[in-house]
Amino acid sequence: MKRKTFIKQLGYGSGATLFLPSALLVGGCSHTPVDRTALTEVDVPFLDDLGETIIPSTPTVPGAKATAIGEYIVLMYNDCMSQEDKAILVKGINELDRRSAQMFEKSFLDATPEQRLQLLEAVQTEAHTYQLEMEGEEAADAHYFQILKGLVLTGYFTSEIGMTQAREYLPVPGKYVACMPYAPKDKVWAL
Amino acid sequence: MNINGKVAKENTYDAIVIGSGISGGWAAKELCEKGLKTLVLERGRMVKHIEDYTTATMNPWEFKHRGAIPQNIKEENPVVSRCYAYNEATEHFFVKDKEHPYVQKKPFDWIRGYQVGGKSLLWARWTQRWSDLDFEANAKEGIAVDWPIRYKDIAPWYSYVEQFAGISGNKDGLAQVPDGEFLPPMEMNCLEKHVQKTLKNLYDDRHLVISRTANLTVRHNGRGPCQYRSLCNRGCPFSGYFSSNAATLPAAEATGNMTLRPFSVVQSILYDKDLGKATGVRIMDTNTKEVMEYHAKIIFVNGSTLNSTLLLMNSKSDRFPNGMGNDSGELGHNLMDHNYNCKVEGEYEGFEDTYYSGRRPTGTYLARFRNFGNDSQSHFKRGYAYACGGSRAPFSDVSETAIGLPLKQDQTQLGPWKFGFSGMGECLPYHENKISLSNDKTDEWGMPLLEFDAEYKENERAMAKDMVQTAMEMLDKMKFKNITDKKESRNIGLNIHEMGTARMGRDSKTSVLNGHNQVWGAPNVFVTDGACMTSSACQNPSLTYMALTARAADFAVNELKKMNL
Repeated sequence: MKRKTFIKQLGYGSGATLFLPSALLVGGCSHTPVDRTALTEVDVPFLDDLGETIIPSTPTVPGAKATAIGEYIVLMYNDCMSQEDKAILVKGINELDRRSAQMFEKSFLDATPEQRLQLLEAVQTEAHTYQLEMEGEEAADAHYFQILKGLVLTGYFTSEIGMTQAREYLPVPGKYVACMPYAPKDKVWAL
Repeated sequence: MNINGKVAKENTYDAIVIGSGISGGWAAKELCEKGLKTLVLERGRMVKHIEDYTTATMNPWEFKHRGAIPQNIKEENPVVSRCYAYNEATEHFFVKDKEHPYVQKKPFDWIRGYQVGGKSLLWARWTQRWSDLDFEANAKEGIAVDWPIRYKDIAPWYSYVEQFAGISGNKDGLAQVPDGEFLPPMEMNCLEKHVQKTLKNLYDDRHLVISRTANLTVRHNGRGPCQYRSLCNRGCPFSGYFSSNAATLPAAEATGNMTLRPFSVVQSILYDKDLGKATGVRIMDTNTKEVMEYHAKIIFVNGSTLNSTLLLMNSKSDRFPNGMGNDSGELGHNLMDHNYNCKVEGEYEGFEDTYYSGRRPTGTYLARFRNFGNDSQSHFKRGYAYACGGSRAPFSDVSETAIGLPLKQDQTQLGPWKFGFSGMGECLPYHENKISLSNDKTDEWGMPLLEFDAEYKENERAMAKDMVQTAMEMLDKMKFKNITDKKESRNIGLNIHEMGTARMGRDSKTSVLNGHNQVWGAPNVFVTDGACMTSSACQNPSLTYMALTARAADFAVNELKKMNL
């Protein structure tokens, strides 16, 4: 399926909210979604919670929020992303804000962890479907969730927590062991 | 008169070496050790071994952008931004496009390192020897001109430089990449050993070996050993790999015969028509913009392939109106790079209970088999090798669709073994692939800008196609899954093996240098970096530059003693 058809089909979900009068949305919930034109420091708590939903804390290893993932995303947004990707990401964050308001009648920050996961799992499925549709299309834009998830994974696994607690970091290995046993419970090396 | 005489004397050395990179460092070491008072001119800043490796021990999270290059810098410097080794941890060793412009008549990615040590700080350290398969190819096929040397001429010099540099490797007995003086080899991991064995069973000409590499597996000449951090491009605080900064320049320095002058752009080589040789160089100090002259009996030009040729082209005189050594009209022509437009990968089901530890700073090498031995190809000449490697990523395909706990779990467990092939193809020397001097544009240091007019041609494209097909075929025969062609596509130049433009040959009518790297018509000028190459082979070229440099330095000093220069 080509991109245009796919976007049309999105109409039942995210796309449709674009054309709803904002009064309707405001009337129906306690959260007014923000229509951002850029990501800024103000978005850090929202981005922290998005990150924590993607890489959550577990009993022994903190999640993305503990690595200040929101600060990292804003920094990368400001310094290291192309104009095209920045625009896609901002639009996507706005959409997540709107869909949270629509689905839960509250902001992503006020939603429960289960609700947050529910929303992002749905978006993950959409992103994956989109990716399959776009396969082989060289000029296809990335899906915003792909960009967001990529930022969270890179940010988390280049952080001290991600490298030294989630994985195992050897700053100076000292030797190369070419073959050694591995069991699924074993830690993996940080890259 | 008196004052001038004094200045001339103060500015006079036995030898001048232009450039301090991988070949310049060798020229400096050899000439100094043979007792010559040697001036080493480097256009860039000083980089002191260890002390100036400012990022060498930083952890990934200590970099502001965790290694990424900011977008505005990328946009201002698109060429260097395409280089695999350019990142936040290494960017201070790379030339920014914006600061050192050049003209691209056709796309050419020119990657440069202007500092003491040059790109020897940044190189990939793979050091396969060339063989007569390479030195005889032009003559056998009637392409370009014949190399004026054969393997027997360079073999002792390979041994000589290997023994000092420290090359780890295995004696594999392959004629196309002859064995050398090796330190113990690094080991192959489980999958690599499996592939080595499987290829041996399936084919009689596919030999996978551990790449011979200038990383030290044991302590050697007071350096190393390698600590398996694989952060070489930042400069190594353990002196675990060969660079000018770690090895040759300290050796030159220790003789007391070296004067190293950074911030010195050489504008031209001075020539005396009556003497029939060069007398010195004119330089500009990049800090003061002062122009001055230095004199010497012999001059080694090691400014990196294209800057060495730029210097010869800019050294015009009555005797050499079209550039020094250019009686043939070949100066600036026959520009080559390698062709790396092949990257193929597959997954292996098996060895799930095995892993490795430490970051090995090299890979495995599938030696050339095309147009060699019993193989004969009708669609292209010459051949290629593959850089190969087996590895396991700390995640699997699950990560593509998972979020939350399953994602975190997948990202902290090993994925399947993967094995990759990166093709490294020989490029032919074409007269029409060339650089020339801009007529109207100069840089801040008074040098004309270089114009690039070079491209891959049909032979390179046909070979790249075969590299991809053959790699996929081998993976399939070895029962790999999910075999993917990564559609690698690079501009010429980006493989950073630029060679040619002042080729060696057998006579002044068809070449710029003779069999001892002497400039035709200026016998006390030696060019021993990549500019001198007559063909490109498919091996990484730096070891050959080192050997040619040591050989030429020995010849030069002997000629000086015989009063021939």
